[in-house]
Amino acid sequence: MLDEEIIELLFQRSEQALKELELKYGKICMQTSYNILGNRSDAEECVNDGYLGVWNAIPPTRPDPLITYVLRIVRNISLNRYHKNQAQKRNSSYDLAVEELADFIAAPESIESVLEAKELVSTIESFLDSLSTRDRVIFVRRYWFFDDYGQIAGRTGITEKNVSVRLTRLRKQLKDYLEERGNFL
Amino acid sequence: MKETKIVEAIGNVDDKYIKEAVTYRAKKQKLHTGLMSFVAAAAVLFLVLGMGMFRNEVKANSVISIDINPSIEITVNKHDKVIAANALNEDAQIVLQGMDLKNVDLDIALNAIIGSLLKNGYLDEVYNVVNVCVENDDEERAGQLGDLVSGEISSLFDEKDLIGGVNTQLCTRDDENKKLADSYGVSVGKLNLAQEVSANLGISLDVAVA
Repeated sequence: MLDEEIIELLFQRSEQALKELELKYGKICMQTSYNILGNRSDAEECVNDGYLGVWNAIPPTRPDPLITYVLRIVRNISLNRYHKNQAQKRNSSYDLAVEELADFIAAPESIESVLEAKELVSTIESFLDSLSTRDRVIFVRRYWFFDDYGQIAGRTGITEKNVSVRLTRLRKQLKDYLEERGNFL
Repeated sequence: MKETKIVEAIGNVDDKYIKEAVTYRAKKQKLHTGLMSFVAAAAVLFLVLGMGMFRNEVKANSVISIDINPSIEITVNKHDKVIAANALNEDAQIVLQGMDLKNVDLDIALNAIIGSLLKNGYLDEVYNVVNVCVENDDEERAGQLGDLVSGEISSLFDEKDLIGGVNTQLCTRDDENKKLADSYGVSVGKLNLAQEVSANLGISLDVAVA
Protein backbone atom coordinates (compact mmCIF):
# COMPACT_ATOMS: atom_id res chain seq x y z
CA MET A 1 0.00 0.00 0.00
CA LEU A 2 1.26 3.48 -0.81
CA ASP A 3 2.20 5.86 2.00
CA GLU A 4 -0.52 8.26 0.89
CA GLU A 5 -3.11 5.52 1.22
CA ILE A 6 -1.93 4.60 4.71
CA ILE A 7 -2.07 8.25 5.74
CA GLU A 8 -5.58 8.49 4.31
CA LEU A 9 -6.66 5.50 6.41
CA LEU A 10 -5.20 7.22 9.47
CA PHE A 11 -7.19 10.34 8.66
CA GLN A 12 -10.30 8.13 8.44
CA ARG A 13 -9.31 6.66 11.85
CA SER A 14 -9.32 3.19 10.35
CA GLU A 15 -7.37 0.60 12.33
CA GLN A 16 -6.49 -0.99 9.02
CA ALA A 17 -3.90 1.79 8.81
CA LEU A 18 -1.92 0.26 11.67
CA LYS A 19 -2.01 -3.18 10.06
CA GLU A 20 -0.75 -1.71 6.80
CA LEU A 21 1.92 0.21 8.68
CA GLU A 22 3.13 -2.95 10.31
CA LEU A 23 3.10 -4.84 7.01
CA LYS A 24 5.12 -2.20 5.26
CA TYR A 25 7.48 -0.93 7.95
CA GLY A 26 7.24 -3.41 10.77
CA LYS A 27 10.46 -5.19 9.97
CA ILE A 28 12.65 -2.12 9.77
CA CYS A 29 11.05 -0.63 12.89
CA MET A 30 11.63 -3.83 14.79
CA GLN A 31 15.23 -4.08 13.64
CA THR A 32 15.98 -0.47 14.61
CA SER A 33 14.45 -0.89 18.04
CA TYR A 34 16.18 -4.20 18.61
CA ASN A 35 19.53 -2.68 17.66
CA ILE A 36 19.09 -0.25 20.54
CA LEU A 37 17.55 -2.48 23.17
CA GLY A 38 19.01 -5.89 22.36
CA ASN A 39 15.84 -7.43 23.67
CA ARG A 40 13.01 -8.70 21.46
CA SER A 41 10.07 -8.19 23.80
CA ASP A 42 11.17 -4.66 24.75
CA ALA A 43 11.62 -3.90 21.07
CA GLU A 44 8.11 -5.18 20.26
CA GLU A 45 6.64 -2.98 22.98
CA CYS A 46 8.48 0.06 21.70
CA VAL A 47 7.42 -0.58 18.12
CA ASN A 48 3.80 -0.92 19.21
CA ASP A 49 4.14 2.29 21.19
CA GLY A 50 5.55 3.80 18.06
CA TYR A 51 2.47 2.85 16.05
CA LEU A 52 0.35 4.44 18.76
CA GLY A 53 2.47 7.55 18.48
CA VAL A 54 1.83 7.63 14.74
CA TRP A 55 -1.90 7.10 15.34
CA ASN A 56 -1.96 10.08 17.71
CA ALA A 57 0.05 12.35 15.45
CA ILE A 58 -1.75 11.68 12.16
CA PRO A 59 -3.95 13.62 11.65
CA PRO A 60 -3.29 16.49 11.54
CA THR A 61 0.28 15.80 10.35
CA ARG A 62 0.85 14.51 6.83
CA PRO A 63 4.47 13.38 6.97
CA ASP A 64 6.47 12.87 3.79
CA PRO A 65 8.27 10.54 3.69
CA LEU A 66 6.26 8.39 6.09
CA ILE A 67 9.04 5.89 6.71
CA THR A 68 11.42 8.37 8.32
CA TYR A 69 8.60 9.82 10.43
CA VAL A 70 7.70 6.39 11.79
CA LEU A 71 11.33 5.45 12.32
CA ARG A 72 12.09 8.60 14.29
CA ILE A 73 9.19 7.91 16.64
CA VAL A 74 10.21 4.29 17.17
CA ARG A 75 13.86 5.24 17.60
CA ASN A 76 13.13 7.91 20.18
CA ILE A 77 10.82 5.65 22.16
CA SER A 78 13.45 2.91 22.09
CA LEU A 79 16.20 5.28 23.23
CA ASN A 80 14.01 6.52 26.09
CA ARG A 81 13.31 2.95 27.12
CA TYR A 82 16.99 2.14 26.96
CA HIS A 83 17.97 5.05 29.21
CA LYS A 84 15.23 4.26 31.69
CA ASN A 85 16.24 0.66 31.92
CA GLN A 86 19.12 0.97 34.41
CA ALA A 87 19.75 -2.72 34.59
CA GLN A 88 20.22 -3.00 30.83
CA LYS A 89 23.38 -4.92 29.98
CA ARG A 90 25.77 -3.09 27.69
CA ASN A 91 25.70 -5.59 24.87
CA SER A 92 23.32 -4.17 22.31
CA SER A 93 24.46 -2.84 18.99
CA TYR A 94 23.52 0.63 20.28
CA ASP A 95 25.98 0.30 23.19
CA LEU A 96 28.83 -0.61 20.88
CA ALA A 97 28.00 2.16 18.41
CA VAL A 98 27.82 4.78 21.16
CA GLU A 99 31.09 3.63 22.69
CA GLU A 100 32.76 4.11 19.31
CA LEU A 101 31.83 7.77 19.47
CA ALA A 102 33.02 8.20 23.08
CA ASP A 103 36.06 10.35 22.31
CA PHE A 104 34.20 12.93 20.28
CA ILE A 105 33.38 15.60 22.77
CA ALA A 106 35.93 17.48 24.86
CA ALA A 107 33.49 18.35 27.60
CA PRO A 108 29.71 18.09 27.85
CA GLU A 109 29.58 21.74 28.95
CA SER A 110 30.83 22.83 25.56
CA ILE A 111 27.39 22.25 24.10
CA GLU A 112 24.67 23.86 26.19
CA SER A 113 22.34 25.86 24.08
CA VAL A 114 19.76 24.73 21.59
CA LEU A 115 21.54 26.91 19.05
CA GLU A 116 24.76 25.00 19.51
CA ALA A 117 22.91 21.70 19.22
CA LYS A 118 21.33 22.83 15.95
CA GLU A 119 24.70 23.98 14.69
CA LEU A 120 26.14 20.59 15.52
CA VAL A 121 23.40 18.89 13.52
CA SER A 122 24.05 21.21 10.60
CA THR A 123 27.78 20.51 10.72
CA ILE A 124 27.21 16.78 10.77
CA GLU A 125 24.90 17.13 7.78
CA SER A 126 27.52 18.99 5.80
CA PHE A 127 30.01 16.29 6.77
CA LEU A 128 27.61 13.66 5.46
CA ASP A 129 27.25 15.62 2.23
CA SER A 130 31.00 15.44 1.75
CA LEU A 131 30.97 11.63 1.77
CA SER A 132 30.38 9.17 -1.05
CA THR A 133 26.93 7.57 -1.05
CA ARG A 134 28.24 4.30 0.26
CA ASP A 135 30.23 5.88 3.10
CA ARG A 136 27.28 8.05 4.06
CA VAL A 137 25.00 5.00 4.19
CA ILE A 138 27.56 3.07 6.25
CA PHE A 139 27.79 5.94 8.72
CA VAL A 140 24.03 6.47 9.02
CA ARG A 141 23.27 2.78 9.30
CA ARG A 142 25.75 2.50 12.16
CA TYR A 143 24.99 5.66 14.13
CA TRP A 144 21.34 6.30 13.35
CA PHE A 145 20.02 2.76 12.91
CA PHE A 146 22.70 1.12 15.13
CA ASP A 147 23.08 -1.75 12.66
CA ASP A 148 25.88 -4.17 13.48
CA TYR A 149 28.77 -4.68 11.06
CA GLY A 150 27.23 -7.78 9.53
CA GLN A 151 24.00 -5.98 8.69
CA ILE A 152 25.90 -3.09 7.15
CA ALA A 153 28.14 -5.44 5.16
CA GLY A 154 25.11 -7.21 3.73
CA ARG A 155 23.50 -3.97 2.67
CA THR A 156 26.57 -2.33 1.17
CA GLY A 157 28.19 -5.35 -0.47
CA ILE A 158 31.49 -5.19 1.39
CA THR A 159 32.96 -7.41 4.10
CA GLU A 160 32.51 -6.87 7.81
CA LYS A 161 36.21 -6.17 8.14
CA ASN A 162 35.91 -3.51 5.47
CA VAL A 163 32.94 -1.98 7.32
CA SER A 164 35.05 -1.80 10.46
CA VAL A 165 37.96 -0.20 8.59
CA ARG A 166 35.70 2.34 6.87
CA LEU A 167 33.91 3.28 10.10
CA THR A 168 37.24 3.86 11.86
CA ARG A 169 38.25 6.16 9.07
CA LEU A 170 34.88 7.94 9.00
CA ARG A 171 34.97 8.59 12.74
CA LYS A 172 38.41 10.11 12.37
CA GLN A 173 37.23 12.22 9.45
CA LEU A 174 34.22 13.44 11.43
CA LYS A 175 36.34 14.27 14.45
CA ASP A 176 38.76 16.29 12.29
CA TYR A 177 35.81 17.94 10.52
CA LEU A 178 34.23 19.01 13.81
CA GLU A 179 37.51 20.24 15.26
CA GLU A 180 38.28 22.32 12.16
CA ARG A 181 34.93 24.01 12.55
CA GLY A 182 35.49 24.66 16.22
CA ASN A 183 32.70 22.47 17.48
CA PHE A 184 34.95 20.62 19.90
CA LEU A 185 38.06 22.17 21.41
CA MET B 1 27.14 10.45 28.90
CA LYS B 2 28.97 12.93 26.74
CA GLU B 3 28.87 10.66 23.75
CA THR B 4 25.06 10.82 23.76
CA LYS B 5 25.35 14.46 22.63
CA ILE B 6 26.85 13.40 19.33
CA VAL B 7 24.44 10.47 19.07
CA GLU B 8 21.52 12.86 19.62
CA ALA B 9 22.86 15.23 16.99
CA ILE B 10 23.22 12.40 14.48
CA GLY B 11 19.70 11.34 15.37
CA ASN B 12 18.40 14.75 14.32
CA VAL B 13 19.86 14.87 10.82
CA ASP B 14 17.53 15.52 7.92
CA ASP B 15 15.11 12.86 6.66
CA LYS B 16 16.89 12.60 3.33
CA TYR B 17 19.86 10.84 4.94
CA ILE B 18 17.57 8.36 6.68
CA LYS B 19 15.61 7.66 3.55
CA GLU B 20 18.77 7.11 1.55
CA ALA B 21 20.04 4.65 4.14
CA VAL B 22 16.72 2.78 4.07
CA THR B 23 16.61 2.37 0.31
CA TYR B 24 20.32 1.88 -0.45
CA ARG B 25 21.39 -1.50 -1.73
CA ALA B 26 24.83 -2.17 -3.20
CA LYS B 27 25.00 -3.06 -6.87
CA LYS B 28 26.33 -6.56 -7.44
CA GLN B 29 29.98 -6.64 -8.36
CA LYS B 30 30.71 -8.26 -11.69
CA LEU B 31 33.25 -11.01 -11.55
CA HIS B 32 35.25 -11.31 -14.68
CA THR B 33 37.35 -14.18 -15.85
CA GLY B 34 40.99 -13.65 -16.62
CA LEU B 35 40.13 -14.05 -20.30
CA MET B 36 37.61 -11.23 -20.33
CA SER B 37 39.83 -8.96 -18.32
CA PHE B 38 42.61 -9.15 -20.87
CA VAL B 39 40.28 -8.71 -23.83
CA ALA B 40 37.98 -6.04 -22.50
CA ALA B 41 40.01 -4.03 -20.06
CA ALA B 42 41.20 -0.54 -20.71
CA ALA B 43 43.41 -0.99 -17.70
CA VAL B 44 43.98 -3.93 -15.45
CA LEU B 45 44.88 -3.64 -11.85
CA PHE B 46 46.40 -6.83 -10.67
CA LEU B 47 46.90 -7.50 -7.03
CA VAL B 48 48.80 -10.44 -5.68
CA LEU B 49 49.15 -11.23 -2.02
CA GLY B 50 51.89 -13.69 -1.42
CA MET B 51 54.03 -15.25 1.23
CA GLY B 52 57.11 -13.19 1.67
CA MET B 53 60.51 -13.62 3.19
CA PHE B 54 61.17 -13.25 6.87
CA ARG B 55 63.86 -10.80 7.74
CA ASN B 56 65.41 -9.96 11.07
CA GLU B 57 64.17 -6.39 11.37
CA VAL B 58 60.96 -6.48 9.35
CA LYS B 59 58.83 -9.61 8.97
CA ALA B 60 57.14 -9.69 5.58
CA ASN B 61 53.83 -11.49 5.64
CA SER B 62 52.41 -10.89 2.20
CA VAL B 63 53.56 -9.67 -1.17
CA ILE B 64 51.12 -7.65 -3.24
CA SER B 65 51.69 -7.14 -6.92
CA ILE B 66 49.67 -4.50 -8.72
CA ASP B 67 49.52 -4.92 -12.45
CA ILE B 68 47.90 -2.55 -14.83
CA ASN B 69 50.18 -1.69 -17.61
CA PRO B 70 52.34 -0.52 -14.74
CA SER B 71 53.37 -3.41 -12.58
CA ILE B 72 53.86 -2.71 -8.89
CA GLU B 73 54.86 -5.08 -6.12
CA ILE B 74 54.04 -4.27 -2.52
CA THR B 75 55.26 -6.23 0.49
CA VAL B 76 53.17 -6.00 3.66
CA ASN B 77 53.66 -7.37 7.16
CA LYS B 78 51.11 -9.29 9.18
CA HIS B 79 49.58 -6.03 10.38
CA ASP B 80 48.82 -5.04 6.77
CA LYS B 81 51.40 -2.28 6.83
CA VAL B 82 53.57 -1.71 3.76
CA ILE B 83 57.18 -2.74 4.10
CA ALA B 84 58.23 -2.00 0.54
CA ALA B 85 56.72 -0.92 -2.78
CA ASN B 86 58.64 -1.77 -5.94
CA ALA B 87 58.08 -0.73 -9.55
CA LEU B 88 58.51 -3.73 -11.85
CA ASN B 89 58.47 -1.71 -15.07
CA GLU B 90 58.90 1.85 -16.37
CA ASP B 91 55.21 2.78 -16.18
CA ALA B 92 55.15 1.69 -12.57
CA GLN B 93 58.07 4.01 -11.82
CA ILE B 94 55.93 6.91 -13.02
CA VAL B 95 53.06 5.83 -10.79
CA LEU B 96 55.23 5.45 -7.70
CA GLN B 97 57.28 8.58 -8.28
CA GLY B 98 57.52 10.71 -5.14
CA MET B 99 55.59 8.22 -3.00
CA ASP B 100 56.92 6.92 0.29
CA LEU B 101 54.64 4.06 1.25
CA LYS B 102 56.79 2.51 3.98
CA ASN B 103 54.84 1.84 7.19
CA VAL B 104 51.66 3.04 5.54
CA ASP B 105 48.46 1.05 6.07
CA LEU B 106 47.54 -1.10 3.10
CA ASP B 107 44.22 0.64 2.48
CA ILE B 108 45.88 4.05 2.47
CA ALA B 109 48.61 2.78 0.12
CA LEU B 110 45.93 1.44 -2.23
CA ASN B 111 44.20 4.81 -2.12
CA ALA B 112 47.43 6.58 -3.08
CA ILE B 113 48.22 4.13 -5.87
CA ILE B 114 44.73 4.24 -7.37
CA GLY B 115 44.88 8.03 -7.25
CA SER B 116 48.22 8.04 -9.04
CA LEU B 117 47.01 5.54 -11.63
CA LEU B 118 44.05 7.77 -12.34
CA LYS B 119 46.15 10.94 -12.42
CA ASN B 120 48.65 9.40 -14.79
CA GLY B 121 45.96 8.05 -17.12
CA TYR B 122 46.23 4.34 -16.40
CA LEU B 123 42.62 4.20 -15.23
CA ASP B 124 39.84 5.94 -17.09
CA GLU B 125 36.12 6.52 -16.98
CA VAL B 126 35.34 3.92 -19.65
CA TYR B 127 35.89 0.61 -17.93
CA ASN B 128 38.53 -0.85 -15.64
CA VAL B 129 38.99 -4.39 -14.43
CA VAL B 130 40.84 -5.16 -11.28
CA ASN B 131 42.39 -8.56 -10.87
CA VAL B 132 43.20 -9.43 -7.31
CA CYS B 133 45.52 -12.38 -6.99
CA VAL B 134 46.06 -13.66 -3.48
CA GLU B 135 48.94 -15.88 -2.56
CA ASN B 136 49.41 -17.13 1.00
CA ASP B 137 49.91 -20.53 2.61
CA ASP B 138 47.13 -19.69 5.04
CA GLU B 139 44.07 -19.87 2.80
CA GLU B 140 41.79 -18.25 5.34
CA ARG B 141 44.13 -15.31 5.73
CA ALA B 142 44.47 -15.11 1.96
CA GLY B 143 40.71 -15.02 1.59
CA GLN B 144 40.35 -12.29 4.21
CA LEU B 145 43.07 -10.18 2.63
CA GLY B 146 41.56 -10.69 -0.81
CA ASP B 147 38.18 -9.52 0.48
CA LEU B 148 39.75 -6.52 2.19
CA VAL B 149 41.66 -5.45 -0.87
CA SER B 150 38.83 -6.01 -3.35
CA GLY B 151 36.42 -4.22 -1.07
CA GLU B 152 38.80 -1.30 -0.67
CA ILE B 153 39.36 -1.03 -4.42
CA SER B 154 35.60 -1.16 -5.07
CA SER B 155 35.07 1.65 -2.56
CA LEU B 156 37.81 3.71 -4.15
CA PHE B 157 36.26 3.21 -7.58
CA ASP B 158 32.97 4.39 -6.10
CA GLU B 159 34.54 7.48 -4.59
CA LYS B 160 36.32 8.43 -7.77
CA ASP B 161 33.32 7.64 -10.02
CA LEU B 162 35.18 4.93 -11.87
CA ILE B 163 33.38 2.01 -13.42
CA GLY B 164 34.86 -1.43 -13.14
CA GLY B 165 34.80 -4.92 -11.71
CA VAL B 166 37.00 -6.86 -9.32
CA ASN B 167 38.22 -10.37 -10.04
CA THR B 168 39.64 -12.26 -7.08
CA GLN B 169 41.61 -15.47 -7.35
CA LEU B 170 44.12 -17.51 -5.43
CA CYS B 171 47.53 -17.67 -7.05
CA THR B 172 50.55 -19.86 -6.57
CA ARG B 173 54.11 -18.75 -6.70
CA ASP B 174 57.08 -20.97 -7.25
CA ASP B 175 60.66 -20.18 -8.20
CA GLU B 176 60.20 -21.16 -11.83
CA ASN B 177 57.14 -18.96 -12.22
CA LYS B 178 58.90 -16.12 -10.46
CA LYS B 179 61.85 -16.33 -12.85
CA LEU B 180 59.54 -16.39 -15.85
CA ALA B 181 57.54 -13.43 -14.49
CA ASP B 182 60.76 -11.48 -13.90
CA SER B 183 61.90 -12.19 -17.44
CA TYR B 184 58.69 -10.57 -18.74
CA GLY B 185 58.86 -7.74 -16.23
CA VAL B 186 55.47 -8.58 -14.73
CA SER B 187 54.16 -9.95 -11.48
CA VAL B 188 53.54 -13.65 -10.89
CA GLY B 189 49.84 -12.89 -10.73
CA LYS B 190 49.82 -11.33 -14.17
CA LEU B 191 51.87 -14.22 -15.51
CA ASN B 192 49.29 -16.68 -14.14
CA LEU B 193 46.56 -14.74 -15.89
CA ALA B 194 48.53 -14.52 -19.13
CA GLN B 195 49.10 -18.27 -19.07
CA GLU B 196 45.35 -18.78 -18.71
CA VAL B 197 44.61 -16.41 -21.60
CA SER B 198 47.30 -18.00 -23.73
CA ALA B 199 45.78 -21.44 -23.16
CA ASN B 200 42.19 -20.28 -23.74
CA LEU B 201 42.83 -18.19 -26.84
CA GLY B 202 45.61 -20.27 -28.31
CA ILE B 203 47.95 -17.32 -28.51
CA SER B 204 51.58 -17.16 -27.51
CA LEU B 205 52.51 -16.25 -23.99
CA ASP B 206 54.54 -13.31 -25.33
CA VAL B 207 51.39 -11.79 -26.79
CA ALA B 208 49.23 -12.60 -23.80
CA VAL B 209 51.64 -10.95 -21.38
CA ALA B 210 52.08 -7.80 -23.46
